[in-house]
Parts: sequence; structure tokens; C-alpha cells
Amino acid sequence: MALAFDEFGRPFILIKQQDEKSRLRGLDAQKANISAGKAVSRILRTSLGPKGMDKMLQSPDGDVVITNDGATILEQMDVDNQIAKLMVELSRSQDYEIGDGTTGVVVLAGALLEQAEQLLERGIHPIRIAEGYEMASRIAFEHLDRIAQKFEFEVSNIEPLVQTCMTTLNSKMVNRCKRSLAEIAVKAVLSVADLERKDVNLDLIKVEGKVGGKLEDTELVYGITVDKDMSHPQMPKRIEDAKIAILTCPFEPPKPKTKHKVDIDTVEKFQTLRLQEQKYFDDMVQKCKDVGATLVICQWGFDDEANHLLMHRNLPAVRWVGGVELELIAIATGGRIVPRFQELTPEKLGKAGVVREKSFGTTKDRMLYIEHCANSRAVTIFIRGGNKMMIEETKRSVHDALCVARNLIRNNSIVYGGGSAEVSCSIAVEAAADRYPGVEQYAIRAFADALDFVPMALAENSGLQPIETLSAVKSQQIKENNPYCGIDCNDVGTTDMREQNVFETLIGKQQQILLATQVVKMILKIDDVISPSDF
Amino acid sequence: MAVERIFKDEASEEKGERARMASFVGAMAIADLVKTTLGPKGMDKILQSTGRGRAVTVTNDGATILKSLHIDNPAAKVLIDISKVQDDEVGDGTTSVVVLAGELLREAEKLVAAKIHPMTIISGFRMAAECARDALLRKVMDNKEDAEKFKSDLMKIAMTTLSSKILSQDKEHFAQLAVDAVMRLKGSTNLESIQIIKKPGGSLKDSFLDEGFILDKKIGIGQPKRIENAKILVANTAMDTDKVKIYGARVRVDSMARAAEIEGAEKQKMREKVQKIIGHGINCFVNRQLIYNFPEELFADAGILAIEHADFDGIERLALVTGGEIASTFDNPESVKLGHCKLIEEIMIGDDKLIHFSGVEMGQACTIVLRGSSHHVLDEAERSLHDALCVLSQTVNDSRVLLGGGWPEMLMAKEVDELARKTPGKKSHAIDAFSRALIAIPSTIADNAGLDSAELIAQLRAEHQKEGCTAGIDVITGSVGDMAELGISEAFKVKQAVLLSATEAAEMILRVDEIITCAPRRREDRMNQSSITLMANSSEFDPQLFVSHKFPESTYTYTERDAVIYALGVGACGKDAVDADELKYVYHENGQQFIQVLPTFSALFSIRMSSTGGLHLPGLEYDPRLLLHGQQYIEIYKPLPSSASVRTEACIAGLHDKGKAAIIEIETKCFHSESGELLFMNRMTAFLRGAGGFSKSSQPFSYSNYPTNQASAAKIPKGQPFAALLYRLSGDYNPLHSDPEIAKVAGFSRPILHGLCTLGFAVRAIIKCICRGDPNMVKSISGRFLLHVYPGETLITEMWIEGLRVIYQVKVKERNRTVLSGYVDLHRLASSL
Repeated sequence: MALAFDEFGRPFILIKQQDEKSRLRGLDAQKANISAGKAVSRILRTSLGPKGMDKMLQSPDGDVVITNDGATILEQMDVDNQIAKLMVELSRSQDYEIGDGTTGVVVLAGALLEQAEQLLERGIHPIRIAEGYEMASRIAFEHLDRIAQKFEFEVSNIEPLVQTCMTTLNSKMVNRCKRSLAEIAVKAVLSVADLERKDVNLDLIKVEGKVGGKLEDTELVYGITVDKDMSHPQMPKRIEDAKIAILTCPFEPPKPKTKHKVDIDTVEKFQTLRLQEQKYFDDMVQKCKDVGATLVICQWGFDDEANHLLMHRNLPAVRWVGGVELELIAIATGGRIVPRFQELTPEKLGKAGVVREKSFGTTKDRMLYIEHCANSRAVTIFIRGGNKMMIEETKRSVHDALCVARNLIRNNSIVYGGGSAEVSCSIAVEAAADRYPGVEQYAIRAFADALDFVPMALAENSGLQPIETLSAVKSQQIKENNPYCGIDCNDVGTTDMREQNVFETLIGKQQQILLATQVVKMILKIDDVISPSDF
Repeated sequence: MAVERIFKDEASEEKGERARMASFVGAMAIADLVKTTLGPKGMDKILQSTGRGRAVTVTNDGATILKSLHIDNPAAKVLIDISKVQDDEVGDGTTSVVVLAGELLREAEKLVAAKIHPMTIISGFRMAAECARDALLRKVMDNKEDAEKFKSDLMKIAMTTLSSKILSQDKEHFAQLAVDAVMRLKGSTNLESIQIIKKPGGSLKDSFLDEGFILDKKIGIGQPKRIENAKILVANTAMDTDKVKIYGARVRVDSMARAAEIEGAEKQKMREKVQKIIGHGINCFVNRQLIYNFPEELFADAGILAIEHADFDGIERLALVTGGEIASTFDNPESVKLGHCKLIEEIMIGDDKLIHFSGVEMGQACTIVLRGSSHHVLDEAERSLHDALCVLSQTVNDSRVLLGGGWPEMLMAKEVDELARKTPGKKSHAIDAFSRALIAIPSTIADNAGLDSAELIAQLRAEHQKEGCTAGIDVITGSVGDMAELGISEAFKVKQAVLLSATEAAEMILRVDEIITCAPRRREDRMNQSSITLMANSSEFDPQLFVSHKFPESTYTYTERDAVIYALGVGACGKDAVDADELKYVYHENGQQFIQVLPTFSALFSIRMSSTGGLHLPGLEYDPRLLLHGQQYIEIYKPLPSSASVRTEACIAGLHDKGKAAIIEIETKCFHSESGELLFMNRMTAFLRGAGGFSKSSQPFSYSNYPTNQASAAKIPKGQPFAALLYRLSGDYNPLHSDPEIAKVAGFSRPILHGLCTLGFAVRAIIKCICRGDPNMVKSISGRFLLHVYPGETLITEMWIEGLRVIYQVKVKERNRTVLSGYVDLHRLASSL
């Protein structure tokens, strides 16, 4: 890839270790990038929509993941190409921001890139294309606001929300239990939602999974689950109004950090030491008892003797609880983590309504449930399933359902799905294009064409004739002036998405268009790629 | 323009039809694998583990077979998972679920080939599964109310489950065992309180159910062998020496007398502890940890039965069934809950003495003692019994029962068929296919029993047209029989789970239209540690030591004569003695002061083989005749002088265990003796064959990356039959290249050409074609030896230029096989290219 040669044929060296790098410039660079971006979107294209196909991904360790969640596919795909990584980032940011529509955003970006390629062929400067796209995205954004509608629901009547979540779950593998999962998701969101501020903190919803049992056993826990059991098999399995001492010191004899030796040279010393040791254990347990704790959660292990003493004094205890979980428990129960027995005071105890140990099925697994915690409304969705693959997929599906419910609570503006919003935007952008003088006009038209790609992919995945269906829907929209006509993916018999009850959140859709445009602009602006040549 | 690669190097991607094909084939292969184990006349499989000892398992339990397989096909993994789920949820039907899923996919494949969209197939399958389930629901029998009938239902189910297993000979006996055990649980599904003890010896028929609890321990000497109305203290405490636990405490004494005193104090302490324990008013003491002689003696004196070293599960279960608590301190006897049982006695099973606790507080507990002639039989018996217990305990909760023997499948198939007729659209094809897949199960059962399945199925189908039909396959007589009369029943829950999970699995696989396999994670660091056992006979071989081994420095002197012999050895001027490009390697052409030295000449100074043909490696024993040269990498820092004295420093740069063979990498740096300048570096990869099998080295070199469109030159230097003999003179006296006998031992029909000689040929060709004859343009050389070359074969070197890198591969014209591939980096390109 030498750039210039002197008269002896030796290249000038401009970049450090130039000969080890490969370089692409100008139109070649843009085309290479576009083709990489398109390759990624082509992979996801068939996963779009309720009839979208799944992808089977085999991880470096040989585990199998089957999913049609765009963000997950891209995450697991282990891409190497820089532009492809940008697309992965794109879908991830949609995931973080909205949680849904991760496939759609990549497909849209791919379509935009494909259109841009044609424009480049015709000699339009990439910057002009980028600007045209920007204008078009603004038109589409505003148009979405116009066609948006309000979605009505109340806390007392969660049925509409459940229906919505069920729509989301319909395309997933877990549709066997969509009803119960949707209910769990809606209840979880409502219990952490701040309806006045219209805010939902999804961090308060922990989604946990454990292999074993079946999908139907999945439940919503109003509190925290810890994958531990009581230290002694015969401690009480259920504690009401628990006062929890959260300790980071072990129930073991003291171990001063300085090195020391205790020499035993007489029988008396031996005996005093023995008594001291007994007293020490006794004191430890007594201190916990004195401050009124009814449950001890400890980061470290217990000595057998201490364990029995605890059991004997009717003080249930949990040992070997991880640091992170310990913190979570402390936050949720309003307790303080206590590093020494001497520092235990009643105020430092955490409080929880019920702490119970639950055992599962025929397997020996036990989990600890800490429910009705003093401080927070944290909830845990506890997923059960036959294998890891199922649990992971359920986690993802529940996550999507949670996001949908959250988005509706945050902002109950919706647009109708099935590609109707895209078609409507496409018509609006197309119409607006003629008003723009200059080269951008072409880019804006290309944008409108790219928007058509999404319904086209939907139709294709549903086994319909893509072009035929799209043109029918488009003409219907214009003829009836009805922006809610979309692709009839489920073969219901009507193209009106209001009747089919298929809708997406307005912010989700707007975000899709903005993010896709942004990334495409970024890719178009790259005209030189220097990378270490990998041979 | 080429399509951009977006994946990492070794990742692969399969799309559309190919992906679907791959997953169909994988899934069907798995289904076919377990297919023959289905039904009462199903065959067993022998599984041999790859681990130490090559343990053998004989089983026909689908879940067990599939669990033990190492599968690479992702779709097959899905089926294995499904069978695992089935095992966890209902415990039986693990084979059926896989077979049904496989049949569904087989049918789906035909539909896909007929251009029906997978989504249409899936929706058809879903409708069919729903309809089939409803059909079953309409026909279930529920005898929950009638205890007597319910029990006979359970018996029938247990017998049906067991009839396909090793226990089928004694199925009545075992069915009775299982039903009794499950009835004791009184509706709980906690199978933990059913203990299964396996004791080799006797026959399967001698197995028995024992109420109560059996602990696989012996009673101490001198202690009572039989205790009635036992009070049991279950403990987890140290009964050897009760150590002082305060950290850092130690005994330091100045005389033996003192030591004796302390020992006395310790004994006293133990005595007190034992007294406290005895103070609980017990007559049996079970401890998880060891009990030393001294306390044991004390217990014996007090007439207390002391049992030591019970395992943790045993302790917990004992505490559970006797209702005691596990104690570790003994200061408050009044508040410790003791366990109770009516009778403790020592019993004999075969040759072993066991301790039997009967009349325990928790009446649910029981123990099944399995007897059998070998461990394999016992293991399989345990699995079978476990299946039966699982199914029974599930049936106790969900008492709906169906007939067996293919009856439910035929029933479902009939209903589904009717649905297919009523359904408009393409879906009806899928529904039709579903019913065919259902019929495949009874037909497999018949096939496995060696019956004429086509005939039987046809008869069955005719029978099922009648209302209230109870016909199924009677495998014993080989005809269609009345299942209700024969007493063959199955649990509804199992059938339903089979139906739903199989449909789900098939759907899951059908939905896939793309398989993306990530590059496998490299696990290199492990290799250095474990390894070597195969090639190093001496067990004390230390890889760390080996890696840190430094070869002695050595000095070589070479003259122009050596360089010339080398050049001739790699065929310079072999075709034309006045070749203008090559004469300079062998002759002071045009008055040039020195002859030119080929860059590959430097390879001679990598660590030399000793004359017996091996290199000495510390602690590593291997057969030098099986050594092969794998790769050579050369970096040239200075043009080689035509004669010089060089000093070499060699070290081991890598050592990899490849299972059957080892790969060592030796790096040699060569310095000019006088100026001390670094001249060149060689990295040689040698392959020490154990029993064959080549795997990728740490730097996998993928030669599929050749740009196919830029082949710029191909050259055919004619090899000389004496090439190896000539090249040998350059210093590699490995007899493999000259001695026909040794070559035979190494597995070649005659002596082979030196790998480095082939490399020399290739590089010479590259210098000639691409460097326009200037050997000093070469910066580094890498080559990987893929196959041996016999002297006299024609070598074709193909080259591609990519930037400053020349990629080449050498083919043997006669065999049309690639023998060497690699690349050469140049300092610059020749101006004319």
C-alpha cells in the first residue's frame, strides 16, 4: 500500500510501521464500510417482526444461544470489523435507551447505507448525502409526533398493559407462558414505578434465573433473592419481621493481623485458654442476640461450634454471602454492614417483612427470599427453566416486556406498528423532498426509500410478496389518508393496525430514526481506513 | 470488490437453507441415535467415557445417553437440552421427546423442500399440538377418588415405565417397590427421603424396600448391636483431638513430664466432652467426623452406640428422618432435640454389615436396597428406578392416566388428521405432517421389536376409527391388542410434556435461519502444564524446567564452499548451468567479490540435529525417527556474508501438548562472531509424533486466505533425484533423508526431502521471480510444512504479492498436493513490479 516512491522504488514512510498497515481511501473506503454495515444489517433483516426467524449462535465456549433479539445477536456475534462494531454499538444504544426495536434500528441503518451507496455511485458527495439524511430524519421525526396517539391505562386496570407486553412476548420462544410472564412484568414495573413523576427505575427490578424447574414456576418476588441457604439445616425456614444483622466478621476465633504466638506450657494455661475460647464463641452469639437481631447474614464462614450455638440460641444465620449481595441486602433493608461484633447496635440492623427459605422441586436447591424490605420497593423476577438457554432467552424476553411497560408509563404516546409508521413517514418525507432545492433532494428521497425497507422486510419475513404488499399499503394510506395501515403479518385480515392492536412507543420509533441516521452519517464521513494488516 | 469480512478469522456463518439443513441434519442424527432405544424391546447403548479409566456405562435411558455425548452441532445441543428438561420435569419420556422432535423436523424438512415457509409450518405445528393435547385431555382417565383403582393405575404406569428398562424381567417386583415407596411419601414430591442403596451381589430379584433408614456404616467393636427405643444424638463435632481454635496457639514445653501433663489435660477435656454427650441421656451417637479410639472406648463403656464418619448427606437425612437436630456443642442437654427411632440393629446385606434404623419418626422415609450382579447393572437399575419413581410421584399429584402402547399417539394422530382436513391454507400440510410424525413413535416401537410396523400401524389406524377404541401395539405377542386389558398405562403428564417439549424444540430449530459460530476460545496456557505425559515416559518430567532450558552456545564457521553446496542443494543452477540469475550463488560472477548467499542458508544454523537424527532435549524422551519439521520462520537483519564465523544462542520458545504429539518451538539467534551483530533469527517448530494426528499450532496459519485473483507467477524447477543426498552435505545428517530403512520406520516409502530444502527451493524461486534475483530484499521468511516431498518430484511454487508480502505455496506436481505454504516479507518491491 505504498503511497509514493522515490526514484529507486523505495516508498516514503509516513506512518509508523507503515508496511504493516493496510489502508483504504476515498470512495473505496466508503464502499467497504457500507458493505460491512450492510452485511450486519442483512444478518438481522430476517429477524424483524413477529414472524422473524431466529439465529443460532455458538459462543467461543460452545454454548448455544437461540434468539431473535437484535441486540443479543449482535453482542454474541463477535465481530471483528470496525464498522460492524459501530452497528453493534448502535443496536446496544437503542437497547439501553429504549430496550426494544434493536433489530429495526439496524435494518433501517442498513437500508440507509444501501441507498447512500447508489447516491455515491452517481457522484454525490458523501457530506451532501449526510446532510440530506439529517433533514429527512427531522421531517420524519416531526411527522411521527403528528401521527402519535395516546394510550390509556390505569393502575387499577392493568389489562391494556398486559396485552401490550403479550404482543412483545408473542414473537419470542417463551410464548407458551406469555400471559403469566406479561403479568409478572407489568406488576414488577408498576411496583417500582413512580406514577406521578412518570418515572420507572428499572435498576430496582432484578431479573434472576436459576436452572431447574419449569417456566411456569417463574415468579415475582417483592424483595431480594439470595442463592444461599441457612447455615444449619434445622434453623427456621421462615422469619417474620426479621431484624437482620449484616456482618463482615466471621464467627470464628480472632485472627489478629500481627503475627503472634500463644504458647501453652502448663495445664492451667491450657484450661484457661479452653474456657476463653468457649466464652469467645458465646460472646459473639450473645452480642448478636443482645441487639435484637433475628437473622444474621455473614460474609464469612462459621465454625461448627458457632453454627450450633447460633442454632441453639434460635438465631438463624446465613453464611458465605457475597459482597455485592451483602450490599444489596443492606441497601434494601436499610441496615448497615457491621465489620466488628463490638460495633453492633440496634440501629444498624436491617428490617424485612419476611425472610424465608424456599426449596425447589426434587433438586436440593434452596434459595433465600428477603421480602417486604424496609427501605425500597425493589423486586426480583425469578425465572426458572429447564436449561440455561431457556433461562437466558426468558431473561431477554422479560427485559423487553419490562421496557415496553416502562416506556408506556413514561410516555404514553404511541405510534402504530406493522411498518405503518415507517410507510407514513416515507410518504411524508417523499412529499417534502420536492421542496428542497439542491442535491440534498436526492438524499431525502433516498431516505424515504430506505424507510420503505422496514415494512418490506416485515412483509418478506411474513411470507408475503414484499413489493406488492408494500405498494398496496402505501396506496391505501394515501387514498384513505389513514397513517395506520401496515403490513398484516399475522394474517388477521385487516391492514389497520389500530384494529390489530399492534403498536410501539413513540419515543422508541423516534429514537430508532435518530440513532440510525446518526450512525449512517458517521460512517459516510469516513474516507480513510488505516488498520494493521492482519495476516 | 470483495465482500467485507465482518467476523473474526475462525468464526463461521451459515445462512438460509444451508443453516436449516445443518440444524435439521444434526437434530435428526441425534434422534436416530436414540431411536433404537425406544420401547420395551429397545436396545441399549454402551457409553465409554474418554476420561481416565474409560469407564463403561450400559443404558437405554435417553437422557443419560445424550448427556454423555460431546456434540458440536448447535441444533443437536437443543435436542439434548430438551431431553434434559424432560428428565428434570417428569423424569421419563426422555427418549420419546427426542424421537418425536426428530420426526417433526424430518417432516418439516420435506415441507421446506416443498417451499412452504417455516413460519407457516410452525403455526401449523402449534395448532396441531394444541389439538392433540385436547384430544388427550378428552380421553384421560382419572381415578383419584378410588384409592384401590388409583393404586392399580400406579402399578400399571410403573410397569409400563420399567418394561423398557433393564428391570423389565422383574418389572412386577420393582413396580411394587416403586409404588410402595411413592405411596409412603403421601403426595410430596420430595424424592430425597427415598434412599437407594446399591449393593453388588445377589440378583435383581433380591432387591427390597425397607421402611426406615439404612446407614452404610459398621457398629464399633464392643458396642451394642441392637438398641430398642433409641435416642439418637446427631452431631457434627471433632471427636479426635479437640483443638484449641484460638489462632496461633501452640504447645511449647520444656520437658517430657510437662508434655504428658498437657496430654492428660487434653484427655480430660475429651472425657468431659464425652460425659456431656452421654449426659444427654442418649444411647446412640452419630458423628459426621471421625471418632478416635479413646472416645469410642468411653462410649462403649457407657453402652452407647457410636457411629463415626457418616457422610454429610447421610447425617442430614438421618436428622431429618429421626427428627433430631445436628449438634456441635453439648452444654445444654435439655434443649437439644434428640432423634428417636424404635429399633437400631445391624443387618447383613450380602457380605456387608449395615446399620438399620427402623420405626423412625418421619414415616415417609424408606430405603430401597438394590442388588445385582455388577455395578453396570446396578447403575442402570438405579436410573430405571429413578425414572419410575419420578413418574409415579408426578402421577400422585396429577392423577390423570392414559393408555400406553402407542394408543395416545394414534389417538392424537387421528384428531390431528381431522383438523388437517378442516383447515384451509398451507397450514394443513404442516398439520398433516404433524400427525405423520406422531405415528412414527408407535412405528418405531414396533420396528425396535422386530415387528412389521407398516402392517401394524395400518391395523391400528383402522381400529382407531371406531369410537372408544383401546387398541395399541402389544409388543409381546407382536399384534394389535387391547391396552386396557393388557394393563398398559402411561401418565398423562409425561405424554403432555413429550408433546409440548418436542413441538417447542422443533419450532425452536425451525425458526433458525442462520447459524453463527464464534471463533473457539483459545486455551493455550493450559497446554504447558498438563501435557507431556504421553511423550515423556519419565513421570518426573517438569515442563517448567524444560521450558527454561538453555542450549549451550555454539559457534559455527562456514565458508563460501558451504554456501555453494547449499545453493546447489536447493537446486540453484539445477536447470541451466549458466542461469544469469543464479550463477551468483555458486560462482564469482562478473568479478563480484563474494558470492551471494541465499537467505534460507541461515536456517542451517538453527539448532542442529545430532547425527542420529534427533536433538537432545532435557527430560523429554521421544522417538527421533518420528520427529517432523513443522514450521520455519526466519528473520534476516543483515545480508549474510559469504563466509563467517557465527555464534548461536538457542532457547525454547514454545512447548505445546497436542494430545498425541508435542510441538516444540526453538528459537535460535545468530550473531556475527567478530562484530557481535545480530545477523538473523530462526524459529523452528518441530512436531514430535506420538501416534499421529496433526492439530493447529499456536499461530494458526490459514492458507485459505489466498487472494485467488492475483497469482502472478508459477515456476517449475525440476527436482533432482539426488537432491536430498546433496542437501544433506549442508549439515542435516538426519538418516530419515538418506536411509531407506529408517524412512520405512518413520512411515515413508523411501527417504524424503529435507523440509528446509523445500523451503530453500521456494525462496529461491521467489527471489528469482519477484526480487529480480536480489536475495537481500528478503526481510523475513515463514513457512509451514504440510506434507513430505520425495526427492525427484516436481515442485511448483505459486506466488501472490500482497503489499510487501509474498504469499507462496509449493505444490508437488505429481501428486497435486500442497506441501509447503507461507509468506516472505520483503524490504521493498523490485522497481519493475
